[in-house]
Amino acid sequence: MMSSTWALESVTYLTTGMIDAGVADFSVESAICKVYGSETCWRVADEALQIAAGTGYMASYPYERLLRDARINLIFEGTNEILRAFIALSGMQGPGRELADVARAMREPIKGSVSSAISPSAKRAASSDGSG
Amino acid sequence: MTRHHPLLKREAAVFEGYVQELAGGADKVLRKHGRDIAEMQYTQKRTADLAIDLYAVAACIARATHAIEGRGRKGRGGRST
Repeated sequence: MMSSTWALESVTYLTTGMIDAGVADFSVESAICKVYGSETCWRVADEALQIAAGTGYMASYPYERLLRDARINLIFEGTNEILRAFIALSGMQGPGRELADVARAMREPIKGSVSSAISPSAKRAASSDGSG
Repeated sequence: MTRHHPLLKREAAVFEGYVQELAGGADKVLRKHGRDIAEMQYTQKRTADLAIDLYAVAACIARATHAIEGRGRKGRGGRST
């Protein structure tokens, strides 16, 4: 629980540091912060209640309320599932554009230069496993 | 990684290996699905989980590097965080 929280704190420090340093687009990073933050909060609250065992379920202890309050963070501000789709798709936008350039160069081999057909991502894929 | 403390060499190497795997995996699913990647929700989830965990690893290595440089490898004195 401590190390999860430490990692979460590091993630938020890195992201806020990036924003303060003047990075223009931090939408993916802040989405990662939200997903990772809310899920760490949920997991840690869940484990705290589990450690407190049966008495933790009673309203005389704070654990059940902590868990109920932690649950909503997974839903608010875009559910984590939606944010995951956003992270994956906007993360893949760059490589996707590179691949589109490659495809165009392959369709029109005379018009496009051959060197543009070998994009960084194509080189990566070729070096990784060759199956493409 | 551009900069990390020598003590974290092993962690940085692991991180770099998985970053390459993520880049290769993203490329592979883009080639396989093309524009239909927008419909492939399990693929998106796996890719995003990789990205999230790798971002967390990068943040931890950066913060640990900062802490080691500030406090020395024994962890005494100096600035916190």
